[in-house]
Amino acid sequence: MKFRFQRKFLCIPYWLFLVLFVVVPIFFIVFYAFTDGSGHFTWDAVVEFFTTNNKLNVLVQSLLFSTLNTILCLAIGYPISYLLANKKYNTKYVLVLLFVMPMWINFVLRTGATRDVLSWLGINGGTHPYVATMIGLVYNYLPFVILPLYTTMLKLDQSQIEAASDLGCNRIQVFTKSIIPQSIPGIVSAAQMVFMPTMSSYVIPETLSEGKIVLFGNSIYLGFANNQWNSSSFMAIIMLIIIGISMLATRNFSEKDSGKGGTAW
Amino acid sequence: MENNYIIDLKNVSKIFDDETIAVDDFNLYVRKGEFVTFLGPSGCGKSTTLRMIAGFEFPSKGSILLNGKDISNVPPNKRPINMVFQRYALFPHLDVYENIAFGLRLKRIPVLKTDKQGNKVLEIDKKKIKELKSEYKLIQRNKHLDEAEKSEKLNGLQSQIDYLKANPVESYNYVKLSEKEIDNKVARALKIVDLEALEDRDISTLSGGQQQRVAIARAIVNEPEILLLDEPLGALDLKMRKEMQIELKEMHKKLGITFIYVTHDQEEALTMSDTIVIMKDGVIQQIGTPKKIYDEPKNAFVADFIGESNIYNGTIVGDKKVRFLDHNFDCEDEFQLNEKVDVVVRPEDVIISEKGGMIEGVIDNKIFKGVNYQYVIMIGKNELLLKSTKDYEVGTKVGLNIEPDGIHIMKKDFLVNIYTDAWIDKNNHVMIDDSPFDCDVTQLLAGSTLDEEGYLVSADKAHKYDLKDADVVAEIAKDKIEIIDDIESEEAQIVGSIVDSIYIGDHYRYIVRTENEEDFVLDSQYSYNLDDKVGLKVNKEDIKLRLKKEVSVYEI
Repeated sequence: MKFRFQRKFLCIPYWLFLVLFVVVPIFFIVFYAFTDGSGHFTWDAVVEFFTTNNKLNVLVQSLLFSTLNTILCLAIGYPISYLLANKKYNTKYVLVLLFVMPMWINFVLRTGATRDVLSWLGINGGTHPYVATMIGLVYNYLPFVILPLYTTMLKLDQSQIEAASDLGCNRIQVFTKSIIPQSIPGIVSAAQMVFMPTMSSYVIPETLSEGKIVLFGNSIYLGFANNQWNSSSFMAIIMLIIIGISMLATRNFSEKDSGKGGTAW
Repeated sequence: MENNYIIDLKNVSKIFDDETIAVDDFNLYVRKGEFVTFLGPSGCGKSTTLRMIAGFEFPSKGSILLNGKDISNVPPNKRPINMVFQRYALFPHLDVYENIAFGLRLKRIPVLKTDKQGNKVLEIDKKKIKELKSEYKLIQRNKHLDEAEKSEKLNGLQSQIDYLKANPVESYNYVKLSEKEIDNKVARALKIVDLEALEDRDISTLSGGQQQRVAIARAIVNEPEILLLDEPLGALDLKMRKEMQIELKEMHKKLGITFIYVTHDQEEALTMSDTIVIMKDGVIQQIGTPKKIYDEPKNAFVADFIGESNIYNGTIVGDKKVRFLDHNFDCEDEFQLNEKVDVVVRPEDVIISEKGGMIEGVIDNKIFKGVNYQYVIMIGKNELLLKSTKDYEVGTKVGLNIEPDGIHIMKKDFLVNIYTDAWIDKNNHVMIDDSPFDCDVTQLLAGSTLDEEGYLVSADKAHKYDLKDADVVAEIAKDKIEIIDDIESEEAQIVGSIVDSIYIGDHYRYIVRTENEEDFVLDSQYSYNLDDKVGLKVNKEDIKLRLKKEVSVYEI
């Protein structure tokens, strides 16, 4: 029979990609999480995770760091992007680039430099591990907040803002009742860009706290480095579940305004 | 104030970025309950005026009085005025009910403050003082006000502040509307706009017409004194628009609120308004009832903008007699003998017959319009548009009659271009708008000639003048400017784009605006589009010059 090209063959490369880089790795993670060293099924990793204080502590600490980092980044990034997107204060795109530029510098190099600057300022990783790590996290993730917020702010509907003030809002009410609701999609995608990556971040806490603070990412890495493949795999699954939950929780917002705002990212 | 003007705009101007004049010396009063429409082409300043009434823009000059009180610098949330926006501007994160209740939830009802015995409590009105102070600062920073007007306003405010500081007044607690009150008001507003069943719907699930109704309900629920509507029907299809026009008119009657409506659709303005304000380039062209504006347009622009019309150049040839289309017509307006005028004839005022008439023409074009036929008739080289129910073939010779009351005569708004800041350069060219025009400088001094070096020599050869940098006033008649299509060619002395065109019988009248915002008004046979870039050419002998100073100043 003669081979006839069909349009559906075009999806083969993607299908292969999915299998090789998504399905197979997840399968291995799940496999390792529920087996012991000799490949027999076991709940050991699960039991270990939930009974070891150490690992639960890491999870709680990571969640705290992520939450705080998200809040700080939003608190700093929101006004900055509002000003950057407002033509009255900023007419040049260059300023936006300046804020986003650190993203393009090698991550490890940047973190190393941050460490040196901080210790020069007296915020030494050895003496102030929490402060140093927090500063490093905020500095690193700020651009990821500014960009989606900036794109959302550019699309703010001025007539909605005017309508709010026409209907009786003073300046603060205009902000809370019109500008914030309009920028929710940007806020959500900005939070997504910060929250999960912070949990799994490895270089920043490692470098800036001089190894004193262990986040979930560090913990997983340590596990694999020490040949504890099974327990680390289970931690990776926990991570996947948290990502899944956070995606579900924010789905409502991004669905409503798909294509509007920060989803460009 | 003894008059019943609800809003009164006095000499209001708005200047953007220190240079663009969006609204120029706007004077208008609106009576309570009136339906006023601002009509004009886009960019004529009508929306800016509306936004100044709403409070989104503050006037650069002049004042806006609401019930006799100056509100020029009061922010929008403090004005009893609500607006329906062009694109509705509904809040997508709220449902229909909450959108409409938005203003009500922000509303605070003053309740007199009393002590335990029920006596009034007197307090200094700090809130009002604060408001006045911020207004004070705003006026202080305004660069466009002249000093006298500024200090007058500032003094007025200061004395108000001083008075409030010295005199405690009855004070009020401000309370929210109860849920029940809000409920009732929203229900009533929904009923007015015919949307009773949709209060729980999401905004994004509504059609354009429904969103429009929500926007109107959201504004009227606050019971504003004035409702502003900024081209509210622009986004609707034709049928929907017609329906909404009638409904809006009904609503206006029912509510008794003053409506100020902005549109560029002349038909909409004619059907809905009590008063129409026609604007162009930030300047009011005419204010009047729809009938008056249609029947007695003040100038060619108004006539052209409102309805279809034939516009001709005419000359007054006698007492109530005007000559145009090579015929002397009787008319009703009195003008000076021999004055050049614009004549407007509405298509429905021309009576067509096969038996001959005052003038004769040949049918050039015919379109069936449902109720009647629209003919284009050639009279010599002039075109005449007319509407008739009678059916004639193209090419038929017909006679036309126009009754005296069908002829509207208007003062010519423009005969010559005058440039008051022109000057002579070293080559004896006149510089208009920084472009050199070849001209005859000897007209500046009777009998003079030019010598080889380019100096002006008087008739008796006794005096010599160097006209370099001499300031002159240049005049160019509008029929002496020629349009050159090729802007690169040597013939094009200056380049600009067409910003305005009116068809006048057998030719077009264009306004060509150069990059430096100098306008050239000219007549041409040929048709160009708005925004076309064209070159202009003026013959040497057609530029009339007049020195600003005595010629002796330039003697050498």
